[in-house]
Amino acid sequence: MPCAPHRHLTDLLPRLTAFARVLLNDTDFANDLVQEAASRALSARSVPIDPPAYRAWMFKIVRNAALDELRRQRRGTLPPEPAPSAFACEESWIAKITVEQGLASLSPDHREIVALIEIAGFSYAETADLLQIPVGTVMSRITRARTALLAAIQSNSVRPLTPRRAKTNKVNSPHGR
Amino acid sequence: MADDRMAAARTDELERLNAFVDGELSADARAQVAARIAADPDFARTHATLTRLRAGLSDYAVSVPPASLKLPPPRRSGLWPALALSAATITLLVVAALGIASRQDSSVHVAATQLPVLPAAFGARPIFPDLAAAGLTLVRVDASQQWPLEHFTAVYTGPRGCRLELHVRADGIAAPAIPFATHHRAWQVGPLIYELFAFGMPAKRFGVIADGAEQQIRALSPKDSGDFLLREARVNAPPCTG
Repeated sequence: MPCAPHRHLTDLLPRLTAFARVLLNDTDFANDLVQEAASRALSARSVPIDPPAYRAWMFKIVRNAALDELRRQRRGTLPPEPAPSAFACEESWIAKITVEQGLASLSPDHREIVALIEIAGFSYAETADLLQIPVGTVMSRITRARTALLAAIQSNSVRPLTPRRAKTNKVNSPHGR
Repeated sequence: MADDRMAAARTDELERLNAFVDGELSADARAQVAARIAADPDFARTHATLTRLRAGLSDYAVSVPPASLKLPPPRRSGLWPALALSAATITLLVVAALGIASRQDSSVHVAATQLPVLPAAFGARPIFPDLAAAGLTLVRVDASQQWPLEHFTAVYTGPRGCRLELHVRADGIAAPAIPFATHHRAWQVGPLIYELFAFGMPAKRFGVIADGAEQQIRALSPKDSGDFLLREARVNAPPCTG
């Protein structure tokens, strides 16, 4: 188990990994990068004690390492990873693939803002602080990013499943049969 | 004109709805948006879509298997810190002595011969400044020879996640796209264009560092581009006919 200041690291790992994966669009690179970032954090001399500050610090380390990797590989975006066999898919897999394909089609800026707010769970103020932009810009950027993501999901061949309650509504609708 | 106003109003209400689902609105604004959702079926549908999207992304975030963490061995205690400190002090003294002996300044000159291959478009030696005074260490210099991105990149890192990139390219070579950079400063010295990028660094600190970097590079470059122009004139000289 990591010691005192790093006691939250294990809890952060799933979201750190997902965050890296969204930025890099590659599972193996994301795993290596999180491992490297964690090692870097564990060997750091000065570590934020306050949990929110620690969380922001860890995501910042992963973000910088991801930027480094992207630049080193000279790839704005990687091709999406191959989806698992269609016949082995469960409902959750389809939703995951839908999201992954949508995210992979976003511009780097949009992918980053979605990763920061949706995956890392930063507030608008924290995101603005991290990116050094006004909160209003965060607000408009996340709106545009979500609009683009929805458009990408809609245009993908894999579509999100219709929620069950929508089916019930349709039956009860005066126009439905 | 009216269309523009309607589009702006639509954007504004969409931004407020996004802020609503993110829990970023004040109580008053929340109440207004909630009332609108209750009254307007289209707005309610958009709200439901955004909520589902957020849920999908949240599910995605927790569905990604976390990286397996291999913890580094614990730091040694006892005599080791003292020994490490002594070794570091000795190394620093040796480096300082060498620096004084060679009467070189602290900036990193990357001679053309030290680089894997100097891109053809480069007419001068790139200079990578020493930013140690700002707590930043030069960790890597990469050379890209893929035209039109024929350029050098120096990466500096520092504590607390700070990171800078200095890109050097010949005048006329297309600027590389740097996603996620939050600050940028460009300047030209002779035939080379230097571009400094920061990622999430406070603007004031970036300004100070960029000033320092630019000053160092200008101070260490040939006084003007005269040398370069003369070399160019020699290389491209047609035969004299007089």
